[in-house]
Parts: sequence; structure tokens; C-alpha cells
Amino acid sequence: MKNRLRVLRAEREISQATLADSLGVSRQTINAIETGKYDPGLPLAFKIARLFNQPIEQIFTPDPDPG
Amino acid sequence: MQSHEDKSSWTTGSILLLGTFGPGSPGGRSFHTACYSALGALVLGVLLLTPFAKSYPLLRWPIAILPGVVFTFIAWRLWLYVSQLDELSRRLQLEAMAITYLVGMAAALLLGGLAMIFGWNINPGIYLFLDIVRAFVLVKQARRYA
Repeated sequence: MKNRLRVLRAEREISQATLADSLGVSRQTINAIETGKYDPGLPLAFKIARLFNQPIEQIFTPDPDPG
Repeated sequence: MQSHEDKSSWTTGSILLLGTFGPGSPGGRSFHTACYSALGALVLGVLLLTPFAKSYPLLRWPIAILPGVVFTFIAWRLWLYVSQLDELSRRLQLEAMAITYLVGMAAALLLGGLAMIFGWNINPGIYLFLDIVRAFVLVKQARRYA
């Protein structure tokens, strides 16, 4: 799964810590999502979408099908 | 934005020493306070009761039961702490617990079998080492996401 979280955060000049506080998660979680090491669960993904006021599919996009 | 944000990771020392992501959150603080209080009560109880156990054999009961009760309490508080974590931290803790449980089962079966052959008298206290296993697994799992 790819995501635009880092870009969205940079556009709004929000730090990882601030975003983490707003979402009620740890800064490590934000970092892991941004670096593509962790895909959030649906509740957190929807929270992120709501926070940035964007549809969820504009923030998270699936990797191209290898087959 | 600060560049250090890109190198966000959990503190290895805290995980190895405490087996948690540290007392930085309200849940973490509460868990550590409960743990230290319970361990303090255990040490104090055993130290106070042991000298009288020879004269009053009934006192051997609380001395024998206290460690199990205290660690049951700690296990319950750990479960509460884990349930308060955010989804990634909770996932890491649960993965570490699952792996430790499997290691513990394997170690128990292996040691139990060998004890039957060699007649070893195994002290159940050695299973406290499993918490060290849990801490190391937690460090390894946390690094995957750092």
C-alpha cells in the first residue's frame, strides 16, 4: 500500500508528533505509515482521511497487482 | 519539519529494561507504577514472613502463593496496558507475547521431558526468563517498523 501522508503533512507543515497527537497514535506509528512499513487499520485510515478532509483512496492507494 | 522525525523509533533501552515502550504515556506510567508497587509488596512480604516460617509452618502458604498472585496481577496490568496502546504498538506487543508463549511452551516441554529422564528438580522461577525473551522479541519486532 502506498500513501501520501508525508506529502499531506508537509503541505500543512505539521510535525509527525502533532499529527500523532491529533490521531491519538504514537509518532512511531506515523513514521511507520509514512515509510510504507506499516499499513494502518481501517479506523485509523478513516481518521487520517477525515483529518486531511480527503477521500481515503486519495491518500492510500494499493500497490500495482504483480500478477 | 525536523529531519530527526524521519528516524523515529522506540527506545531499545526502555524495551529491554521494562519490556514496554516506556512510561511516557498515561497508560505506561500507570502500568509501571502498578508493577513496581506489586514487586515491592512481593519482596517486602517474603522478607517479612520468611524468618518466621520455621516457627509457624502455616506462613509457608503465603510465601509460596505470593509470587504467583503478584505475577498474575502484573500480567493483568500488562494486558490493560496493551489494550490502551495504539494499533501498531499493540500489534508489536501481541506479536512479542505470541512468540514468547510458543518459546515458553517449547522450553517447558523440553525441560519437562529432560527432567523426567534426569530427575531434575526444576524451579518454576526460571520461567521469569521468558520476560527477557519477550523484551528481545519486542526490540526485534519494533526495529522492523523503525
